[in-house]
Amino acid sequence: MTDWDRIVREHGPVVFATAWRILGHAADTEDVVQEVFLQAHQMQQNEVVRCWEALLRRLASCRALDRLRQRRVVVPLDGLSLTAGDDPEALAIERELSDRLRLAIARLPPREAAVFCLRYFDDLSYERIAETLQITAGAVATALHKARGRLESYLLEEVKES
Amino acid sequence: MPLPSHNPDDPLNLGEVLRPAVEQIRRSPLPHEAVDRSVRRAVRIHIPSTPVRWTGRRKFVLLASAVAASVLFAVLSHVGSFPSVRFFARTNNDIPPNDRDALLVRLTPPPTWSPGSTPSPFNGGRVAVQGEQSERYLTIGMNELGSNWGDWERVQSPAPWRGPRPDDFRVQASWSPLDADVRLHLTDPEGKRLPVAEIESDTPGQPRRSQCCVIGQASQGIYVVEVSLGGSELPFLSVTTIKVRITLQGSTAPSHTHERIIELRHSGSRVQVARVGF
Repeated sequence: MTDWDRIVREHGPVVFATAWRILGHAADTEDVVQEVFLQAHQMQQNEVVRCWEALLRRLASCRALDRLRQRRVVVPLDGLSLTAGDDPEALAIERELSDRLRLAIARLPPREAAVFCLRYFDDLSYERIAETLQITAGAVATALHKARGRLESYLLEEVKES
Repeated sequence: MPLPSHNPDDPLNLGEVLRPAVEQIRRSPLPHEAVDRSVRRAVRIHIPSTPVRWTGRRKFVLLASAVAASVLFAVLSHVGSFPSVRFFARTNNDIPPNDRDALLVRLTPPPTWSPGSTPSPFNGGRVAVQGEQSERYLTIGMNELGSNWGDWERVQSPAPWRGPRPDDFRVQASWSPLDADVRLHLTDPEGKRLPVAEIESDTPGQPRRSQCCVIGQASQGIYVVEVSLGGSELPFLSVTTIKVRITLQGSTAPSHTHERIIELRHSGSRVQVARVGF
């Protein structure tokens, strides 16, 4: 197994999970994963990568957020697995809730969106977010605070409009 | 509708509006087939190393280097600093004994040159002997590289000065500037070096003004007269002019004086300036 194989197999699921939670769409997520590893492969030819996990998480969140901003309002059907015991209405409500949050995240400034996703979707600590995004822990806290405020106001606006 | 306050007990530290949506996203299962498919595709990523592209900048640098090298070669060749000519012999000691009658110093022109080719200027030190018949001008490069075909043509040995054997034969040298460390050397027909006397200067403080050698009874054969500059040559003295006077006196031979003026620019080498045969 080459180094590249090892890197992909070790970090591939993490990259997919990061992008998946931001996008919620399997096909888009697969495209983002390919973009991330392609970019990482090119970067390793020009520079020494010290922490693959941090690099790949950063690329995954950035690329996924880019795609989220470009996305039109779609109703993803993949990843929605219905079983006999599931209530379709409840699933639809939950799905709407998560899609509204993703649309709100797409309106955030890039840094705030990335910090929010890494903190609440990937459950990373402030220090690891700072290492991943190459910013300070203080900047993480500030961005997270602003992101929460903006997202709440965005969602409340939608509630009022509806 | 009041703004939701953050619950300090909430590990996510999210309000009522955000928390359900975040929790729903965190709970959403990963599509494992898509994960496996993505990993397999990523493993196959292989980008060949970028080949060297001859961009405009690389071409410019290469072209500029070639032009600079050509100009440097041309300049060095033109001023004679480039070793296009090597000396076959630099001093009399380098010349085979049976060849001394022909040449003092022999230059070897490069094989591509011909007498008609454009000569390059002589940039090295030289020894000039003037005063020969037909304005023969002897140029000898010393410890320097660089010459041309014209120098080759001028490097001709002064013909031995022959005459009836005199009763009194003396060689005397004087030079300018006086501070120069000039040595006079005289060799008899058997190759034996003859003693040369130093003559006190008329000027106080000048230890030597000229050197002289007197031969009472000259032997049959050729005497060789040489001069050299000693190592104590002052650095600001670029040229030392040496006058060598050979005087023959005798009952059978008419009194005769032969003078040569030599310019020496480098120290160390002995330069033959005259040969006298009886």
